[in-house]
Formats: sequence, C-alpha cells, structure tokens
Amino acid sequence: MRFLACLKKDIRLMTGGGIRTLLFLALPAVLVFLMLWGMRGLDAESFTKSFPIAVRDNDNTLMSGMLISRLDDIGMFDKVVHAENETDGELLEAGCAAVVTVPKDFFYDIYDMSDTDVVISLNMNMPHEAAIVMSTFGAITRLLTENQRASYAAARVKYGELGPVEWEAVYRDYSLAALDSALSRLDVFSMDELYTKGYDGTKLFFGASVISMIMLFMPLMMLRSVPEEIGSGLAGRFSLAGGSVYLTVLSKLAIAFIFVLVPTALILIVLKIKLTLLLAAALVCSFLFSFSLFLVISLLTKDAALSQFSGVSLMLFILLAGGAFYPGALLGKAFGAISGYLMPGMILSAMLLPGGAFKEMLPRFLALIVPFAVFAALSAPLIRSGIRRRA
Amino acid sequence: MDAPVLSLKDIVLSYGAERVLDSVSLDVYPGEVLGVRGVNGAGKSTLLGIMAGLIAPDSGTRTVSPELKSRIALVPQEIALYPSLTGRQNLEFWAEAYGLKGAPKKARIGYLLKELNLQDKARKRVETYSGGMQRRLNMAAALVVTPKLLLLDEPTVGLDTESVSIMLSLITRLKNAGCAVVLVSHAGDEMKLACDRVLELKDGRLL
Repeated sequence: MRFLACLKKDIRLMTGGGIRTLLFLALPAVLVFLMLWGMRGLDAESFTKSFPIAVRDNDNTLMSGMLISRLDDIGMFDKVVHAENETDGELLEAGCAAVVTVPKDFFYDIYDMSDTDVVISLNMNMPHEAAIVMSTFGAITRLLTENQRASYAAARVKYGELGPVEWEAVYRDYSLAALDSALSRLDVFSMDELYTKGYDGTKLFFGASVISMIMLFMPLMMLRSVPEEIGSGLAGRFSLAGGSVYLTVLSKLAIAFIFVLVPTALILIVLKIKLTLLLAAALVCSFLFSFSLFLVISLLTKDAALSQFSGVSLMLFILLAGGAFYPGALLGKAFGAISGYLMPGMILSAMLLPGGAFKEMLPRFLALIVPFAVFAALSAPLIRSGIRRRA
Repeated sequence: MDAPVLSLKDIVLSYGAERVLDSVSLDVYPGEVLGVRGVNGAGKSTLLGIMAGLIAPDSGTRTVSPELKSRIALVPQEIALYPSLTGRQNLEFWAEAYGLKGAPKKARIGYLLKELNLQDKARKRVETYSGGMQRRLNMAAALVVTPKLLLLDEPTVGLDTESVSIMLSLITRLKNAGCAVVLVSHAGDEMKLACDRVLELKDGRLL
C-alpha cells in the first residue's frame, strides 16, 4: 500500500500534471524527431575523418587477394595495414579502427552455403569508425551470399543436379566472376556507398547518444525532489506513517526505470537496432549508474537547485566526453581515451559488438558497476545522516 | 491519572562535542497539551525528534504505549509537503501512506480541507499557497489519521491571526478527544492559551 502510494506520488512528481505532463511525455519523441531530421542529407564525412584498418588474409585465394587489394583504393581508409604476425591487440593498439580477418576457406564456404563471415576485431576507442567497418563488411558478405545463390541457381538450370566433382568445377568457374560482380556491379566500395554505410554507423551513433541522454535525464528529473524530501521532514513524516525512506528511493528507481524503458524501446524499434543480451546489460548498467550517481549528488548537495545544477553539469560532461555530441575519437586524445568508458561510447560499443562479447565489454561494464556499488553503499548512511541532521 | 502515552528518562544526546540534551526526563499523558518553551537552539526540535522516534539518543530510554503504533503525528517547523503537487494530492499521498483508501480516505481528506479552511485551494499546487495556508496544510497532512500523540514544532510561526485561531481550536478539539499534544515554541503567548503545563528547555536541560 505504501509502495503504491509512493509510486503514484512519484509519477505525479515526475510528470507535474497539465501542459508539463504533455511536454514531458513528448520529450523522447521530440528527441527522436530532431535526431532523424538532423540526419537528413547527412553523410559520414561530417562525422568521420579517414582512419587506418588492418587486414589479415588467412584464405590466400585469388578472390581474397582481390577483396583485400580493393580496400587500398578506399579513401575512407587512409592506411590499410596488411597484417602478418601481429596480433589483433597489437594492431588495435597501433591505432587501427578494426582488424578484418578473412578466414581460411572463406570464399569456398560462401559458395558452399556454409555459414561464414569475415572476422572483425573492433577498436572500441573508435566506436564510430568501427561501426562503419562493421556495416561495410556486413554488406559485402550479404552481397557475396546473394551472388552465390544466383550462381547456384544458374548452375542448376544449366547442368541440373550437381555431384561433388561438378560442384567443384562450378565453384572454380563462377566464383571469380561472382566476386567481381559483387565488388563492381553493386559498387560496394564507391565512396557514396561507403558513406551510406557510414550513415548506418551514424544512426547507431545517434541512437546511443539519445538513449544516453534519456538514461541520464530521467533519473536526474526523478531524483530532483530528494533534497526537499530529506531536508524538509518529509522522510521523517513518512517514517512515522510506518514507511521507510528506502521504500521511497525504491519507488523512484521503479518510476525512473519505466520512464527510461519506454523511450529507449521506442528508439531501438524506430532505428531498428537489435537488442542483444550485451546491449541489454549495457543499458541496465547505465541506468543503475545514472540513478545512483544522481541520488548521491542530491544527498550530498542537500539543496534542490544545487543538486540540479551539479546533475546537469555532470550529465553534459558525460555526454560530451562520452562522444554523444561528436565521436569521442575526434575529440582529442584525452577524451578519446575515456569516451569508450562513459555511457554514450559504452552503449555504442554494445550496439556494435556481438551479443555474447561480454569479455570484451567487461572493463567498460566495470567502469559503471564499480561506481554504482560505491554510490549505492554511500546512499544509505547519507540518507540516515540527512534525516538525523534535519531533526 | 492515566498512564503516560510517552515517557523519556535521562535522555542524553550530543552532536560532536556539543551536548544538545542533558538528562531530559518527562511524561506525556493522554488528553493533555504539554508545552516546551526555549530559545532558538535550545534543543526543542531535537527533543521532538526523539519523542517521535526519529532520533536515537546517546543514552536514556524512550517508552511509548503500544496503542501509539503509527498514531504519532509530527508537524515539523519546515513545510513537509510536496510543493509541485496540489493540496489534495499531498493529503492523498499521506492518507495512503497511513493505509487509508477508498471512501474513508476521501471523507477524511474532505473533513480536513474543510476544518482547516482549504477547500477552495485544494486543487492548486502547494507552491502557490500563502505561508499560512501551507502551514495549515502541513498540519492537515499530520492529521490524515486521528493521532494519539501530536507533536507540533513552532506551529504558529509566520501565521496570520485567522490561521492561529484555526490551529488552536483544532488543538483543543484533539485534546478533548483524548489526544496528547506536545507543542514546542519559543513564544510564550500561545503556550498560555493552549497548554495545560509548560516546561522550559535551557541549555539542553528541562527546568
């Protein structure tokens, strides 16, 4: 009953009623609209300088050689390092945005309809550039697969059902032509096409940015009443009613979560961003970090105006240094180094990496989980001392 | 004489090196209005906090009668209300926090708004209220359930004559209904009007 009362009260506090409610609920929609409007006519050049990548050819076929040699012609990649004995880590450390490995039998597997893909190690300090590499090579693989289907269908029409020996011959005859078709007829590596891929990366970049804003803004708004609740005796009065002040914090956590969940889901759906387990974990960690951070700030400052000012300042810093307004890698060395560990960069990384890449994301998760644990541990004594001091 | 609803025995409390309360003992009986007078900083609000059970003393004992459970109401000196909510929404929250719902909740809120002359402003945000109206609503929020012990911290500070009159008449009615009232203030006049007995708190000790 008391928890329900708190939930009802916190929804009223959050939305304010009347025209403010409408404005508040419209905010996520306005952000998405502004984002999409701002992306009209935008190309990746606006957000990306040329950058180096590394390529490792483990297939060593004529086709893989062709594929790799065409990368040298792409202006977006200012340097293509042909990797030999270096590890992926060493190449990323050296500043490559990604290491693309063409695995052994890659082209044969494609034509054999086996599941296969180039292996890409991404530099998460350059998430925006990494997004371009990911979407570009994703497109190549898709095109090759589509060509394979066409070739296979054509071969069946021409030769009927194929045995292994005939299939091998067809593979030899058709593969080179099909690769050439994929690379030239469909113009995968033209700059325009590449910028379109960059636009996909930019879409992820904006998605991560707006979600980060919501992750920070909603808890900040929800917790703006905490200084007055502790400082004006509201918490004490609630205790006398038999409630616990921790229940009111829990209620704010629940309401803030709902107000974050709905617009975030909307943005993921509108932008067609796949919600992997990794991304879900990143979003939950981000939310908990944000809530605990603003809770501690509101308890330390003990003043609603100062708490809001400090909160908004921190929010802007996280968004700026995390690369929400401009890719972190382009903000200079200092910001570039930390952007991947702040919310926007981390969410973008989680959007890019495969759903099970928890090991790669662990340092970034820890950058949110450890402060969350510290803030959560600090909150309880701060609440107790706030009530005692007031009384 | 009835048994006291609240007893404090040898209460001691210090904030750092400063001793705020020193061997304070008192009893509060049902149906009485007890005044505690003292200058600013004498420890009156802290004493109320201990009576309410919100502050644990360094030493001494606080005993309350079992019937007081969830029936202690505190009206703090600050306005303990949500300014961005309306008067009615504030009362609804406190009524629900005390477990009231449905028709009894509606009836109680209607009664309090009428009793404290706030019906006309019930749907307005508290931040738009005058100081006197906010204090009356602050009182109403404490009375959403009929208390057995009402603790009032400087209840008439900043009030106009009409609001003082409404407050004191409400206190008298509560007393007549058997509620124990503790009123702390630095002003003597209202004490004389409302209290059955008055204690003086000076330098943390009751005189």
